[in-house]
Amino acid sequence: MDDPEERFTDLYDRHYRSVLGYALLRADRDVAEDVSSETFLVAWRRLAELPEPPLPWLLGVARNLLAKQRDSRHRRQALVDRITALTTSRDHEAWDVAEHVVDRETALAALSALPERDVEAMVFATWYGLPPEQAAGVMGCSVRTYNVRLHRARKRLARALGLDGGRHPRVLNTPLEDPR
Amino acid sequence: MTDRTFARLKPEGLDELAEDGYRRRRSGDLARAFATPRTEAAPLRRRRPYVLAAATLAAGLAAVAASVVVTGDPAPRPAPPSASSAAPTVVDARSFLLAAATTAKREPAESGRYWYLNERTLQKVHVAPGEYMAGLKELSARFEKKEKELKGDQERLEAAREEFEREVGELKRQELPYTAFAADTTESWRAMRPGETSRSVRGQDVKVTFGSAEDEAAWRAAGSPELVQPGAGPRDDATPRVLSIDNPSLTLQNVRELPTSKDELRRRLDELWKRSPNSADVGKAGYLWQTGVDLMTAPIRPGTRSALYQVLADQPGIASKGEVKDALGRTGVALSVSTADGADFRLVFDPGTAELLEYDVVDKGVTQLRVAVAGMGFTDKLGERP
Repeated sequence: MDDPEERFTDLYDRHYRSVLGYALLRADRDVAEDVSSETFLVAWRRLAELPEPPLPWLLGVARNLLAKQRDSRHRRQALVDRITALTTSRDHEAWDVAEHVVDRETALAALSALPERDVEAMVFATWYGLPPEQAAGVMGCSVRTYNVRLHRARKRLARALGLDGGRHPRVLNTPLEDPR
Repeated sequence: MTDRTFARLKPEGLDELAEDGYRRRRSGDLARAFATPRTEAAPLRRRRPYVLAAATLAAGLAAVAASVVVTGDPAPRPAPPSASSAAPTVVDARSFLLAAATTAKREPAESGRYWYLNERTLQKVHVAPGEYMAGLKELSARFEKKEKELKGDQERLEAAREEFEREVGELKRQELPYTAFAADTTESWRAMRPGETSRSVRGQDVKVTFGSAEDEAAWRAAGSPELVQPGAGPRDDATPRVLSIDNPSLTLQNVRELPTSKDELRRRLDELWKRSPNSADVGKAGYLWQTGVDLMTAPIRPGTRSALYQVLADQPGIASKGEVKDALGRTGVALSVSTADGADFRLVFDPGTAELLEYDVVDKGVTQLRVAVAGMGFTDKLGERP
């Protein structure tokens, strides 16, 4: 395992899908794949100094590369728009309203009312299972700020979904401020 | 509750798109990286510190399941601290194999002209090859002389032959009066097309170790006989090699056709077991594990490897021995099973890639054989490693 080629292949095989999965939430397919490939090229160059575990670092690199796309031809897309774009009929069929109280569209609409970064905080916590220390590293903020975002996202989402004991699920129409 | 709803919002197609991208990009990305110069190990730049309690084991398996820890000795390492997930699930040998099955299925199928295998073997030395050969020569010379003397006397000739065979058997079973282990590396390139030249290089990096200082002294007192025959360099020939001693019908070419579903593979292995020349000796458990090793080091399809792990997971009596270091110093998870003839079979897997790192045979507490798989895969040129 000590030779760099082998280490890199192992890194690639373990994490490429996760990195691409994240990039696909921020950009369309071609750009997402290019960004992921670029991320691993950076990882190859810096192989000797990769932190353990490497995934948060890789996600952080991908996130920075995606931010650079903002001004270019391929604008970075809103997270919730990407989730909606990637949603298929299978997802709708698998969605159990009884289990989630609201339907999928309502849930997505609730999400789109949240600040982008709060949704991202939820993505890292829930889809990637990253602990706050690692997720904060990816998002380039302090652990405290990350925890605030996560807490706020959960609370607002719960309220929007009517899971907080409120009587009716309600969709927020105005974006809430993002106190960066 | 909110987290669960959010988790379900993840589109199913996302993983498929990621998998698809991975398959299409992998070879190109690896090639591009390897052609790019790396920066040398520089002192770590100041970077936001991640809290790094993460166990490599848990991290590896996290890719295929939730964060998990394998039980056994030494004590399980803690999973990374996590705000969102519950306490780590404890995994037994069966669950470990099932997780490995998922990982194995994801590996891309490959092909090539030669199947390359690099194995580091450590085994107990039973006889000094020089002494054994000398003993054998002496016995056969004596028998030949007797054979001439007894020409025509069928009855006594038969008795002499029996005596000769008994003596050879005794010589074979003789144990050295000291405990010694020999390690050596064997590389092989086996042609995938029948009739093409294959290559093997045996006896590389030979190293002899002794059970204790007394054992070494006893070896010196015996005249320091050579315990391993030195390697003779590369050997090329086109003779087909047996892939699996227990399964004469399996070949390098047809293992690719083995089923990729658990039930079908189990049925197939049951049939093979019934026809196996060795079935009486080791029992089904021993057969399955030995055959498992033969297949894991052969060019089977990823789906077959996955199915094989599932079949093994259903076997009774597999125990997880937790994290161990293999003969090459790599960390893996050891699973073991006892066979009918009283031996313990141990397999060590890389928890991240689900690859076989090492297989061991332990008899009455003494390691008889330890083989670390240093590398395997396809290559298109004799002598070239994948």
